[in-house]
Amino acid sequence: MEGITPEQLAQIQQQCIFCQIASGKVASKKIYEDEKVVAVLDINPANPGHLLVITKKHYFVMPQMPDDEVEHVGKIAKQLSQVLLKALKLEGTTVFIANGVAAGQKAQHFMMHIIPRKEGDEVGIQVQPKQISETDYDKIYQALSQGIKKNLGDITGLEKKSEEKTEEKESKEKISEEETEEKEIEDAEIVKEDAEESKPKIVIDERKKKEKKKTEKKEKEKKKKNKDKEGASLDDIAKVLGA
Amino acid sequence: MNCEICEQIKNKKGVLYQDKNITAMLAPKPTAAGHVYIVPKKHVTILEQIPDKIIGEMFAKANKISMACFESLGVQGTNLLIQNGLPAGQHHNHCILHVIPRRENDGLNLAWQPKQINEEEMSTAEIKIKENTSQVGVFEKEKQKPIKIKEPEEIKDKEKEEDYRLKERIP
Repeated sequence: MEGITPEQLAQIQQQCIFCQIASGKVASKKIYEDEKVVAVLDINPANPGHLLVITKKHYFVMPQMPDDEVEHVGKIAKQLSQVLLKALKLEGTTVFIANGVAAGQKAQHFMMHIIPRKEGDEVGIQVQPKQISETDYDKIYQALSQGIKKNLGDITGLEKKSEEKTEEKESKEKISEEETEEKEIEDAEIVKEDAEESKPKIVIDERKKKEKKKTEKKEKEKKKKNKDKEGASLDDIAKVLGA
Repeated sequence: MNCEICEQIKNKKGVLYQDKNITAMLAPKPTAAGHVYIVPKKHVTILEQIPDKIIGEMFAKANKISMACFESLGVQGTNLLIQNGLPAGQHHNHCILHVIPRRENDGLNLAWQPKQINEEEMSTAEIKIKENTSQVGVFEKEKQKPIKIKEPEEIKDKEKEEDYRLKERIP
């Protein structure tokens, strides 16, 4: 699908009935239009008021669409669903997208269905829950989570990651504390110098004390870090030996 | 209020992805292998209660997860589905965007039979809907932006004050 030349795309767009509906060359009952999408009444509706949201650009399936258009389609789905509920006094709506023939896609153009729903309307679309064995569940989890990492980046918010992040934050906070201390010392110097250089000894004493505190703190931190890294350092040694 | 989805977000059982607003989890009782729920982290019962920004993000993530289904599970298709309200078949009291992987002849019933509707019914539906579309395409704006701008300004002011005092002292 990606190897299509612009000329071929233009040809497809000329032949695609939904591109022509979106551009207004074919008549339709248009409900809403903006720069990205058009919403029209479906001519083969599951219920009266069945809407189709069609992109103005030609996409076969949703994975071809850029993020901003997908997000826009999502927001429009919510708002049109709200409109349907209010206008037709419904009890629910079904939002449906099919990617691929196996999923029931009939047209060669991306579209989203918003179907008005009332009790006992016999539309179908049933999601029947099934029991699944834990081994199958784990297998699918492993396979999918790897695929999702590729497409969405690392899984954030899970335990290991969050621990690492908090450690980083703590170290940053410590650094900022040290900086503020240094500033305080400088400020103190200026004030004391302004006051006729009366008690320089005290200034020096204070400085020394604070420097001592600092070095102590740093040593403590180093010890802590070494403790944390003991497990990892063994691996590092092993690597060096192996090389 | 008991919500199975909220509990599962807390337990992190089967969680595939999560960020500030959204969690994606493997359905505990899937209709097909690889059935994923994408839900807002905050408890929301129906689609219309989800903030615009978050529903947009949910669709974007659903699309990425749909791609992952194609790549990792080798399926031939995916469905994105929101069952909004009881007549639409909503089982949980937490709004869910379903990503359902599809394989040829998998026997799932996710299609519908078109109804015969006469021209009059169509145009009355059109008129009724059009009367209510004035707010479509007008999205909620984020409220957090002005707070971010204020912070750097305050720091600058402090610096200026300090400079001002020093200048006064020099002569």
